[in-house]
Amino acid sequence: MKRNPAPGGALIHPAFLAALFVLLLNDQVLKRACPSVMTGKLSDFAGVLLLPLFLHALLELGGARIRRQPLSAASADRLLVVCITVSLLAFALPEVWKPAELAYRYGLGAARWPFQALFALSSGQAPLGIRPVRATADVTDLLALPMALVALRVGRQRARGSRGVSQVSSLAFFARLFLPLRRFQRGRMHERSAEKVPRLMPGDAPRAPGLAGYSRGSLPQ
Amino acid sequence: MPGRWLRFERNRAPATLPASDNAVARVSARLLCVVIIASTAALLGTSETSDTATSPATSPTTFTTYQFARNAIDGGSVDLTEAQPSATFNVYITATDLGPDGVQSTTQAVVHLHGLVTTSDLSKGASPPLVSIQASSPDSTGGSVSQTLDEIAQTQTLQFTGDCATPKNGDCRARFAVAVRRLDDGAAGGKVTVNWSFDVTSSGQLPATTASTKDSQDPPWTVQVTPP
Repeated sequence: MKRNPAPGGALIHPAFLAALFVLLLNDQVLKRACPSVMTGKLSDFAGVLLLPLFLHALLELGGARIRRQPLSAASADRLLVVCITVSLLAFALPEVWKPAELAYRYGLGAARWPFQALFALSSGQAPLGIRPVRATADVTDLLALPMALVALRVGRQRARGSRGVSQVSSLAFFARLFLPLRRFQRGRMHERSAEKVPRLMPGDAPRAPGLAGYSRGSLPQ
Repeated sequence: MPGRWLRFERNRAPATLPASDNAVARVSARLLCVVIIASTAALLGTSETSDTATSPATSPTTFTTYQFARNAIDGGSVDLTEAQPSATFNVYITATDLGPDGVQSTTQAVVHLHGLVTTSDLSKGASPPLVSIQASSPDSTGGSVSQTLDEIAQTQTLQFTGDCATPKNGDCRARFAVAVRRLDDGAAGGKVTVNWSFDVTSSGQLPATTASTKDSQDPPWTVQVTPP
């Protein structure tokens, strides 16, 4: 059975990282510095791309951890479609249906509450109750829905692994950037001294999230 | 559950793995964690919390209440005669800043009118005429009307409109009108002098861990009275 070579790998796809950067920058800086129609829509476009891929990656990682092997490509594809559908409903319904908007406001408020409570407690204050988030129903926000197609494309690339090798390589490259050089050199010496070095094959169980199917050959030399 | 997870982790990473692979795997897992945390923060932080609307079941029940009052603001005086039996004063109040700790000073605003009505040079045998005092605010519902021979004591709610969250923009305002009228339309002759002033009170609240009320203080407003 063909396995997804890198569960959770969508999290390091350039499109995902770009959307994440745009969402953070727009919400935390641009909306306050220069509020406009553009900043109002930018987060919607980024969010519609980000949310399904994020949910999909979490489920993929969780599935791989629980089952001790990655999901099959077909299962990952089906899961991706479910995540996109759920995300589209969560995004679109509050724009057109008042009860959904209310559910969104209190749902997101409830999801934020544990973090706010922790922050309040760490600041020596008593945590406040759940506060709903602000939401303004605007049907023009639905213009962002086609971004789900981009999410589908990115997610299917990950699930099918058509670009899995290059992205796993890029993950390894990032990882190496964060590793002290000595540790790497030590690792290389160890490998040279070993008579038989085990290599991971594409069907093997992952050693770490996002690295399933990774082989030393894809390491940047 | 943690024990099961630890066993799984132990079994999952064979000891024969090259050190560099293990190191890359650990760092990569950390990178994924960073991306997951950043994504969670971005998605949860994409909408700001509403400070005004609160869940009925879990809303904070304690606030610090800030009282504001500006007292004895001179409204002016007017002589009501047969030629001019009625007059209208317009009052404009503009909030120029937020109150202490950033609290809005423009909620629950109420204006209290008070004053004196005196008569002079009435026709012989004529009794002092009643004077109608009508206070109204175009931005508030309803108005108050009273009739008096000598004293004015009346209350009217005020509604500030505009961007009162950022009053420095100068468009957070309230307005009200005070119309006075001789009910005899001047038939008793002479003049009826209406001399009035007013107080404006308001309050603001901020969520707090313990309920408290701050002493009344002067609000950051400018008040303009336009005489008839």
